Amino acid sequence: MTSDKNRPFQILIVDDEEDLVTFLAHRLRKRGMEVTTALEGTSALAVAAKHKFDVALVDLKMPGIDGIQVMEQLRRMQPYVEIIMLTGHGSHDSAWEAGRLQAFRYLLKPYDFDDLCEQILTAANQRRRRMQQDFDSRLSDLMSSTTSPRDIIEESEKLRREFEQD
Amino acid sequence: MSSSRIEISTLLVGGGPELGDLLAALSTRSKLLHLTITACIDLGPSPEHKTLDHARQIGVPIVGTHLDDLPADFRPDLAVVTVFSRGVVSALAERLPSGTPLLTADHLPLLQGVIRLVEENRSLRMDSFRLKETRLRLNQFVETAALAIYIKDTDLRFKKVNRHALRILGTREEDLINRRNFAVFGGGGARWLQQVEQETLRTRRTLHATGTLHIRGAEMHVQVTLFPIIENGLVEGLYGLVEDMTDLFESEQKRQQVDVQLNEAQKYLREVLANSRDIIFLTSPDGRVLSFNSGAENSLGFTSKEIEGSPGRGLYCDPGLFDLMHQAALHDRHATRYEVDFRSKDQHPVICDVSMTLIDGPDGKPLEIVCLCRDITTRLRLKNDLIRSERLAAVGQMAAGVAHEINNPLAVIDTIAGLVEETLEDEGENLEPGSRGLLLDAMHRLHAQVQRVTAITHSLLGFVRKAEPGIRDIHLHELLEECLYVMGTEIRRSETRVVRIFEREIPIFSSDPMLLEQVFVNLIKNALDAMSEVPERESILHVTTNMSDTAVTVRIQDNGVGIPPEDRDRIFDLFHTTKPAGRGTGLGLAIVHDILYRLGGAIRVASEPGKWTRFVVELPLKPPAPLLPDPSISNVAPPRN
Repeated sequence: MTSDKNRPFQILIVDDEEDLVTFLAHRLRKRGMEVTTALEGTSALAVAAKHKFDVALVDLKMPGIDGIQVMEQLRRMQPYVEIIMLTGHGSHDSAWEAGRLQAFRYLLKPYDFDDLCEQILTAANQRRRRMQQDFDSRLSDLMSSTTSPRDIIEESEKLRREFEQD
Repeated sequence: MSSSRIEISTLLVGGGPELGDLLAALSTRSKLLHLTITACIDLGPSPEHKTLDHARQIGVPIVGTHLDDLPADFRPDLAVVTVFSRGVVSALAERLPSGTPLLTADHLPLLQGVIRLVEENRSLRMDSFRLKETRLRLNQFVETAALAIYIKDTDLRFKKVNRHALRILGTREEDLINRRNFAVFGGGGARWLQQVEQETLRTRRTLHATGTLHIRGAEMHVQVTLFPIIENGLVEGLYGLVEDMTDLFESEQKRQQVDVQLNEAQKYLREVLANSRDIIFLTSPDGRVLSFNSGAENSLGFTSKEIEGSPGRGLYCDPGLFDLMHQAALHDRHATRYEVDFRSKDQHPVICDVSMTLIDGPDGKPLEIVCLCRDITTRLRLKNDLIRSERLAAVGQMAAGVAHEINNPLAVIDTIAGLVEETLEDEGENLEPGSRGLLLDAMHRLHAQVQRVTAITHSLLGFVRKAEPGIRDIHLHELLEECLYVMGTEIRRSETRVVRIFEREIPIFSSDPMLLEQVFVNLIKNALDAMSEVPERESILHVTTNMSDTAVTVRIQDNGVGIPPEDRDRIFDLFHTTKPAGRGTGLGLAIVHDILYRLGGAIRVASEPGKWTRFVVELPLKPPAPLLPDPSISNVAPPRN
């Protein structure tokens, strides 16, 4: 893994509650994270097309495309991104849906801020660990399958670039 | 008695008492003896002339005191002399025409004998007359009696029959005489009568028997009385008295039949009363319990011995209501009340629909009141549970929607409060220390208030139900331990002693562990809150488990403030709380109730205010299948993997 381990965590907040987005972003930034915000799903996905995130905080209920759809598409664009669902609604059904799509956590608003920060850090660390594992296994696959040293260098360089983008 | 009377004119001659006695004897019997005392001479020297007085009284002419006093032409048919003087006898003989019979004193015993004989003869004649009369009457009776009477000889042939018998047999006397039973009656009856008649002749005793005779194609139930006719020690035949008992027999048969039916009906009624699952008891008009059936024993827990004889009002939680109903029943014959609270031995609530009906005695006066009470406790509880659950679902659903709207702004407020707090901590050194402290404290409080609201909104979201509980195998004791573990911090903080009284073996059963955990955690939390005023180290939490064939029971009991009776019905209501502000949301027990309802279980509460409260949770060993319909479900069920 070539990413800078000290690089600030990249956080995406998607919520139609503007005040929340503003102040939550402010507080997360104070904790040293890099925060991008979006007030609805479409613009969030537009940002995600250009920028990789460690963790996305996604509101479940939004006008336009809702949190579940945002999560699905985001996951497709960025397989390693960890998603924390935030909602004021405690529906077991939507929680189940979130679980099925493997959201990292499912937090009820109003959340405890310290708890949220902890969840974000855990999620981000887990993401980086997972990427490292995947990178390592792909690299070892590469080493065992390719005989030419030149191929190995070329392929590993490709792999590095692929993961670096994340 | 001969109709031609020959009177014998008689002269009496005597003196003293002898003459008096004879006079008396002859005069009183003169008619019997055909004697007429035509004259009397008293030779006695009695100066009192008592004899003469007596003779005069009875109309006997006293001729004088001397034979010379006799009229010269006096010619009696008979002369009687009571004195023994030969002179008097010969003197008298000279005076009377010759040949006049003369009875002297020597003949007096003979005369007395004659008198006696005449008397005896007379009474014999009287008897014969009476006998004749009696015979006549008897004949009349025999001929007119509504009894068949016959006479038979020793061959048992009819010798004489009365009119009634002929009428019954529809035959003439001459056709019957000298015939035997078999020629008159049908087989079975004839044989029976023959046997009784033979028995009468053999035993020489009067016999009574009842049987059936077949006469002219009809059955006649009869009672016969047979008298042997015995003449000079020889049996000559018998009298038969036959009484038609058919009507009586049939009515008796009917009565017996009715009796049997009546008995059966009574038995049936008694069985119904005794074994009915309903509470049935009888009271006297003054309200005392006369009988108490097994349904009542089962429902109320009292034995009939404990209750019979005691006032019925004692069975009601509100004795005044009993009096009211009882009076109404006495007055209007009937009284009905719905949902009456009964007292039970172990104090558990028993609610019944009661109807009282007045029963009159044979004398038309009120005899007793039948109290029929249908135990509707379970039905009412189920109904109330359903209503509560539906209401809860509706209110909960709405509240959950509202909660969602509140949660978002709350999140903003909390985020901002946190930001202000952090900023004050990190960069507030420019502020005056007093105002910085004040602001920090204000932010803390703001945060605490948000948490308080959060507790409510998050609980409310618990009402948004999953489509189905997640039924899994449950180890009850492990689950309870888990709940106690979850509440561990609070239990330790309040220094509460936990006493576990666990059934040795509770089988694994099926239910939703997440929901059950919610139930028990809520109940434990509740118990701890109830004991917050209990002095340190004295609060005890009892957790007891029991098992029956169909259900497991968990009792959670605290020794806290208790629940006043008026609150007991409302504790499961949404937003009902008795806890101080900020402590209770009024949601916990409502959720508990709701969950148990959905799992097919039930919850009861018992409490003594100021002493203890016990929640009893009952869970079926098998979850209800299909699960109770959930009126709140509006979302489509989630897709399955």
